[in-house]
Amino acid sequence: MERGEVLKTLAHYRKDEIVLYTMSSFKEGFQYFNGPLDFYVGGAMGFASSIGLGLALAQPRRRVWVVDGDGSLLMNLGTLVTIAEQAPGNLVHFVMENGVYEIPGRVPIPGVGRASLLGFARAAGLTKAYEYDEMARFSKHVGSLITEPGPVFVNLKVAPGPRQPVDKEGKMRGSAEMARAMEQALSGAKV
Amino acid sequence: MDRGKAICQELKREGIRYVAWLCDSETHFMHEPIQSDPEIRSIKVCHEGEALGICLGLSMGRARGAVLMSNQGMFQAGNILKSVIDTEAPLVMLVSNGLSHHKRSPVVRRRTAKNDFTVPFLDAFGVKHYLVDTDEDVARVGLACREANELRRPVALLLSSADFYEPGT
Repeated sequence: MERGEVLKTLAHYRKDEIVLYTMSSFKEGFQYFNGPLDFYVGGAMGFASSIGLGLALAQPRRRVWVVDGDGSLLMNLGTLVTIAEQAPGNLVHFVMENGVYEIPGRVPIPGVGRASLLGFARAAGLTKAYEYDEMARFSKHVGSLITEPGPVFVNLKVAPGPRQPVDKEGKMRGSAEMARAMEQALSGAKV
Repeated sequence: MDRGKAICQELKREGIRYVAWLCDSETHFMHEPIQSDPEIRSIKVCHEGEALGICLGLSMGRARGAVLMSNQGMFQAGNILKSVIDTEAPLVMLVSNGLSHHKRSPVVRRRTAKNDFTVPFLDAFGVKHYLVDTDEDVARVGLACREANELRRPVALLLSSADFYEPGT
C-alpha cells in the first residue's frame, strides 16, 4: 500500500478525532493533519503511542488516533502491554510498517520479514488487532476500525514514502505551539 | 499518616489524578498508596519513558498526571524528557534519590554515592528539583506541582526511602 493513500483515506474519515503522527508519516500526513487537534511527534522516537494513551485517558469521550512507525514501535514494544492493560476504548493505534528507518536513508529495521508487529500486539493482549496489505481491503474496513470500541491496533504494510526532506518547506510548528493549540481546542470539551 | 499517603494527598490537592509509574526499591513506600487510593488512577508502565509520554499526553488533554520512577529509569528516558521540556508540559516527576540510603549499610551507601548522576542529569536538562527526605519535606510536593504549572516545565522531587525496604525481600 502507499502510505500517502492510507493517510488520505484516514483524513477522509476523520471528524473530530485527535491525531498524533510521527517520523516519516509527516511527508504525506502534514497536508491532512495540521490543525489544532493534530500533533506531530518529531522527537522522542517510540513514544507517540504513549502520548496518545495519555490523551485518550484524559479525553475519554473523544477518539484518539496514533499513526506510528514500525521502527518507532520496536523502540517501545512495552507500550502494547500498557495500552492493553489500560484498555482505553477511544484509542486506535495505526502502525505504518514500511520495513525501514526511512528518514536516515531507508535502513532496514531489525527483523524485517521475520518479526510480526501484529503478533506482538496480539501477544500483548490486544484482542482487536488487525493487519492490512491491500488498499481495497483497508478502505472497505476503515470505517468500522475507527468506530469499534478500542483499544484497536491496526498494522498497515506500506511502501516507503517519497525520497524528500521531512520538512522541506519548514512548515512544522514547534511542539509547544502544537500542544498549546490542542489544549485550547479541548478547553471546551466535555471530559 | 505515612509518607506515601501524605505525598498522594499532596498530589490530589494539586489536582493530580493519574500516576504513571514503574516500581523501584527506593520508592517502595509509594507503591501501595498509589494503587489503593480510589481517587488516583494508577498506570503501570513497562519503561519509564512511557510514563513521561503518558503524562505529556494527559497534559495536552487537560488532565494532570505525575510520574514515579527510579533515577536509573529516568536516565533511560532522557529522550522523551527532552520532548516534555520542548512541549512546555507542566509535569511532576517523583524520582528515587540514589543518595538517600542513609540508613542502609555503608557498603551500599558508598557504592551508590560513587555513581550518582541524578542531580547532574536533572541539572543538564534544566529541571528544578527538591529533596523529599523526611516527613516535613512532603510540603515540597505541592510546591513542585505549582512551580511546574507556573514554569510550564517538569519539576522533580527526589524521594528518599521512607520504609527502608531492603531490595529483594
